[in-house]
Amino acid sequence: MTQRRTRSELGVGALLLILGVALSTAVPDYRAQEWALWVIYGLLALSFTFVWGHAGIFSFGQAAFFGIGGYAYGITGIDLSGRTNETLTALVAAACVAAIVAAALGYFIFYGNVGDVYVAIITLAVTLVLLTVMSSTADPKYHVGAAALGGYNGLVGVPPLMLPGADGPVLLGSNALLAGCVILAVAVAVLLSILRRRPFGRIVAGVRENELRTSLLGYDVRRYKLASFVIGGAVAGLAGGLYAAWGLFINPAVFGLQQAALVAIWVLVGGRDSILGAFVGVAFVQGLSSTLGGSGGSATPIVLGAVLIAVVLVLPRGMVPSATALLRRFLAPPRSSPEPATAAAPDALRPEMPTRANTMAPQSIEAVDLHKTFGGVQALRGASLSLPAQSVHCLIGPNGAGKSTCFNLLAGRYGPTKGRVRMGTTDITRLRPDQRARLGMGIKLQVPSFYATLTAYENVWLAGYVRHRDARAAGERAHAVLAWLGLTARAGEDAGSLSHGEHQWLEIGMVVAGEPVVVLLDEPTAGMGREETLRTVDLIRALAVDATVVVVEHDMEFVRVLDAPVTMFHEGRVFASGSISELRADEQVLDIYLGRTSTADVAG
Amino acid sequence: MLRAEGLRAGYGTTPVLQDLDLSVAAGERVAVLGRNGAGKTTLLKTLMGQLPLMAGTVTFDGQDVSRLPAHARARLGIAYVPQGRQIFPGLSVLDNLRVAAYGTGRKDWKTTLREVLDQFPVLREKADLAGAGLSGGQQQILALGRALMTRPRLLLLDEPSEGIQPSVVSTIAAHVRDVNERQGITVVLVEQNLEFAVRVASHAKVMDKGRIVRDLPSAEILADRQLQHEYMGV
Amino acid sequence: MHGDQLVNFAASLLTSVALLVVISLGLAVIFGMMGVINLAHGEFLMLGAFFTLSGVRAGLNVWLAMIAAALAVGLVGLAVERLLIQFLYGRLAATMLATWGLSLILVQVVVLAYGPATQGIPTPLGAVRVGRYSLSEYNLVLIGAALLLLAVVFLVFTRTRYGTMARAATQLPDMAGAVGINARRVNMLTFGFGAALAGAGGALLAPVAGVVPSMGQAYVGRAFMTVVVGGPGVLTGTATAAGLLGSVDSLVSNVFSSFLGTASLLLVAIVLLRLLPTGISGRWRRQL
Repeated sequence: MTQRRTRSELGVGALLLILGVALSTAVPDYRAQEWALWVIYGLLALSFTFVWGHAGIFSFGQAAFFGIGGYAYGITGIDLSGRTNETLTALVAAACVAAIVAAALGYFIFYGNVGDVYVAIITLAVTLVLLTVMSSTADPKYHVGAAALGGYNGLVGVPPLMLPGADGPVLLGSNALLAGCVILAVAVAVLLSILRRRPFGRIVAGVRENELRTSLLGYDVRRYKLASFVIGGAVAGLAGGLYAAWGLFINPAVFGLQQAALVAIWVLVGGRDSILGAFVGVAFVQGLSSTLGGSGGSATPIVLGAVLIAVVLVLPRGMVPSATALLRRFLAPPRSSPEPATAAAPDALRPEMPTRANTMAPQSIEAVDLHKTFGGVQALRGASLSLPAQSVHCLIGPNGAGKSTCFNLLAGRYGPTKGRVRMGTTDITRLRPDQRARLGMGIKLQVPSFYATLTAYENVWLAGYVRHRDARAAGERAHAVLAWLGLTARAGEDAGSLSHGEHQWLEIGMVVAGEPVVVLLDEPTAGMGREETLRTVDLIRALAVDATVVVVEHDMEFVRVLDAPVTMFHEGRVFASGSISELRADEQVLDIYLGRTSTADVAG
Repeated sequence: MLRAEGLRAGYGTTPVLQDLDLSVAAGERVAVLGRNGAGKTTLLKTLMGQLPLMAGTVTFDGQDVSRLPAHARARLGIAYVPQGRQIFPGLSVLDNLRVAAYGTGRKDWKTTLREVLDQFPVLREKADLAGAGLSGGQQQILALGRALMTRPRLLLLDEPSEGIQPSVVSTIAAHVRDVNERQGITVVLVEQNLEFAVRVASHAKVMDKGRIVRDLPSAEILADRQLQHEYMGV
Repeated sequence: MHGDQLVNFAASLLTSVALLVVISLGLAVIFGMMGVINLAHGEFLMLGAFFTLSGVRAGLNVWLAMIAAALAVGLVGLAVERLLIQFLYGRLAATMLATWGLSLILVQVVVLAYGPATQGIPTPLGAVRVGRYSLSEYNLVLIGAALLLLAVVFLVFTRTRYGTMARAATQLPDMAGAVGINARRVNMLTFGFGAALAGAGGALLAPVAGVVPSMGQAYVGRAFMTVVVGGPGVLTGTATAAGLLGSVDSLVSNVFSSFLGTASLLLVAIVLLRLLPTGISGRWRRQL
């Protein structure tokens, strides 16, 4: 499937390329000049589409990387083009320098776990710092080689785009420059579009959609964010290099608030998750302002501002996605929606549960004297557990007893105030959830946690890919798991459109796809009826054949049917453990569970 | 006084309540019981107006409130003590109480405030502390006091016993009964803690899969092991 | 260091802190409290300055003109909330785009109304001599005004019904509804109040800054940094952040150059955010 789509993408790309280049040579000089700028801006917008639309990082920094690329091109070009007789090196330098700066800034932001809003503000601030810094380099003492930075006036004497030729450099005229920009833009667009469907791109989409789930599956979220940020930086740097070559100068205005905001505006107008939208947005906004600039004069910003507000209020998804949706409505008759299967539970008619394909051994799980305090509340006050490998074990207790806190400490969602957690002989107390997942832990949370806008297939695929890092093997496993769940027919649909019951099974399928050796389930039967609960029991037994399963459950009936050893929590400690029939025979346990102070009190 | 018919409500497009019917008479104390995920909290949020109705109607004192937002229902006399208590963390204890009177526009709120502080002396002691600085039990009492500041005729309580020490739990149970008996406020209570529910409520409604499936005097529940098995997961 | 030098130094330090307070306080309410990223904040400042200009030209006493300007910008804020912002709560990017559009419109409307040139009103009051230095009395007013605005914010949010409800509605919107608070109305008022504070900030800038339609750009970046570093505490956070950043700016500017002053302000801000990702007041319990 991927290969076919890649081929079609290359086809569309080639078509656009031929059209673009043909058009480039045909248009009059001044038009070519203007359009080249739009294509360059389109490339800049595209970098933001990738960083924000695909990776979900709202960064004002794209304009900064654009400017850095411009300066890098200018400086390298001024210093080197005399010797090398070309400026392609300078163009490569533009992309590389911007990528390096993006890496440094991104490391600082993503490894510091800064919140989303703050990412926007910090990148904006860095952009404004650069504006201040570059504006105050007017003194001739600020220079790199022969290139004087020039303060507010910027770098002058930037060489145009030069290709190496047999008899000296080949300078590009307006039409050729436009053609060159089109070639680069199409190439980058096709590359990014392919990248989005490669495993890397899928994981990044997962990070955007549900960071917690992605990290619980075993991916180091920070690394993927950083990588996307660097790719976006490189593309913006490349655009900046082209911009400097186009205008033969670069000045600090590129670091201004206006430029920073324009990037976001182009993409919002065009559509944040559409590659084509990046170029459409630029053409629309820049076209509008140049048309108005020609005739309307001073009213331009008013109309532009009004258009922006109108887009936000009327077309919140942007022009291209809205137009596509409209076209679809006209062209394709509405599908008769298939009857939602209320409980698509695995049953005897379907293939067996896919078994674990890796060679990891099931591990025991041990917690030693766990304490956890939230604010002033002591949720756990010294809980110890030792659960042998390849078994099922239940943690029960009334609400607020500490069982969910214990679950989250085992899963690594937060660290204990005191105490240790071991998996087999490995101390995992300080490991992040993604590291634990890579050691073989599979987790299902109490609240639904999956990727609503990715397909059911992609959901399961992401869970499977982490184990072998093999796209084909992950695909096969995803199909096997979906077949087992009875969801094959709906593999291509967005997971968000599945029914409530199907979500539960999808999440269990994601756990199975990850081939875990230790499985943690938090209230797996919440909201289920008796039938589904019984099926869940069978499923947990099947999982326990070659994994250690820990189930946190409130529902004693479920625990009774499961008939596994039970540990009961009360007031942040382990209160009792044993078989469920032993515990149910214990009046003290029932008192706690029902909140009875004593049985005699009932009459009152 | 409260009548809900054919309620369908939930999160996103998935209904949790499935054609639920409920009616509560004035002055009653009703407990809503059921296992986790049965839809108890969703029911209270829907009655309060925090979740929109997909279908059905809610009438309060003969008035159709189905389309009213939460703040309008609060002004009509519905008060809510949510799960986790939801004390305004940055407001002082006193401001937590005052703000409820401001919101519902009660005129004689100073008298009410005095009454509430007399009823719960611990709130007077902690009056200037930030809401976030109280213990769980104190927060629960504050949440109850805050609800009373709106001068409600119907009080919705969601798991007031959760995560609270047994000694404080019985205090809270006594307070809730007292509120009902002395001030005539109708009480609808969602609970996991059966003892608490039995102690507070005279009637119990058992929920399963978004519907009410049983309606019985609450005292019968503690004796009925079969019912506990089937619907409460014990 | 001589006494007069010390006084001069202290005055310039306090002036730069006060400046940060007056340009940031309105944003602290609108962004810090309501979470609305208002890119038109600079234009609210600018409107405050222009309304003051108009007031003075119409013959109003300059102080009265400033108060009138703040109220007028507050009205503009109410209108903006009703017409635009109320549809955008919780939509981060859309809010930025729309307020950016708004800022373009406001700048151009002012250009059409007042012309693009830099204008000004004379700095009221004179100067006092302290030893070898002369201190502008208006700078002292600026310091006093910053304190006054902080006091107004404190009183409004702690001593009025509206203020208590506004804090409740920002802390737990759902629960606020359940105690009868109409969040729509409270949000509208809060936005208007923030706009009025911005207007007051702009009015106070009018005598010391060039009054020009594009003047907002010069302040909006610093205002955002101050509010972000301050964190969720509108009053305590903003005051502390302004104190810290303003002091750094003033110190470095005095010793080296004003360029390094601005740069160091931004660098300190970024380092602080790395250490305290939720801002200085992020972990304080009583958040006002």
